[in-house]
Amino acid sequence: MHLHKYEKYWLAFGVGSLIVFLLITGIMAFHNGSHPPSAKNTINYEKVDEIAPFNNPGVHKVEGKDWDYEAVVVASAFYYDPPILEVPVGAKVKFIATSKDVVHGFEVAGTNINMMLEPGYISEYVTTVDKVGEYLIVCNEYCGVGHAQMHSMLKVVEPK
Amino acid sequence: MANKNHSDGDLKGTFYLVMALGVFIVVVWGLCFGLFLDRF
Repeated sequence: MHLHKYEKYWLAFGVGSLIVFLLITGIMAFHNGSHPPSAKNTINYEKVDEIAPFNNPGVHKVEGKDWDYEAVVVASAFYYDPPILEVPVGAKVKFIATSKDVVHGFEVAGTNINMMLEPGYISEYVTTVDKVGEYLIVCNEYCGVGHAQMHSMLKVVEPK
Repeated sequence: MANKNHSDGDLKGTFYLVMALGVFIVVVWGLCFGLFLDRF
């Protein structure tokens, strides 16, 4: 098969780009541990309020774990509990959330935190909050008539 | 030889367009990836 030299150039460019993209994806996943938010843990969605850690929603300092804080959030139509999360800048935070009724979203606008909250499943995401600011948390899964009003706030503040 | 040059000339525009499109895609991808890395 005869290939024109220009065809060889753009085939090399295309294949090279593909290899670079796959390498970056592989390095991000296996070396940097960048994964989609997990939902491998299950929960009885009818008894969320009675089951730890969702019986005590909020931000809690933890010891002896790979992260400094746990931000526990319970979503239900059409609000988040707690309504405001406040964490110190530089802290490694594990966001743990679930839904009590229907599918909700948990997107912290302007960040990479974006989880789907499904009834019966626990969604988790670990990140280091390294920029001070107030970040709007919105539901990005249509959940009913109050969906547009379903929001919360993540405050990243200077350590006290 | 004359045919070869003629063929090269026909593909030159296509080659530049394909490479420009490829570079554009790579640059946009790089900007999006930079945004992902910059955010927490």
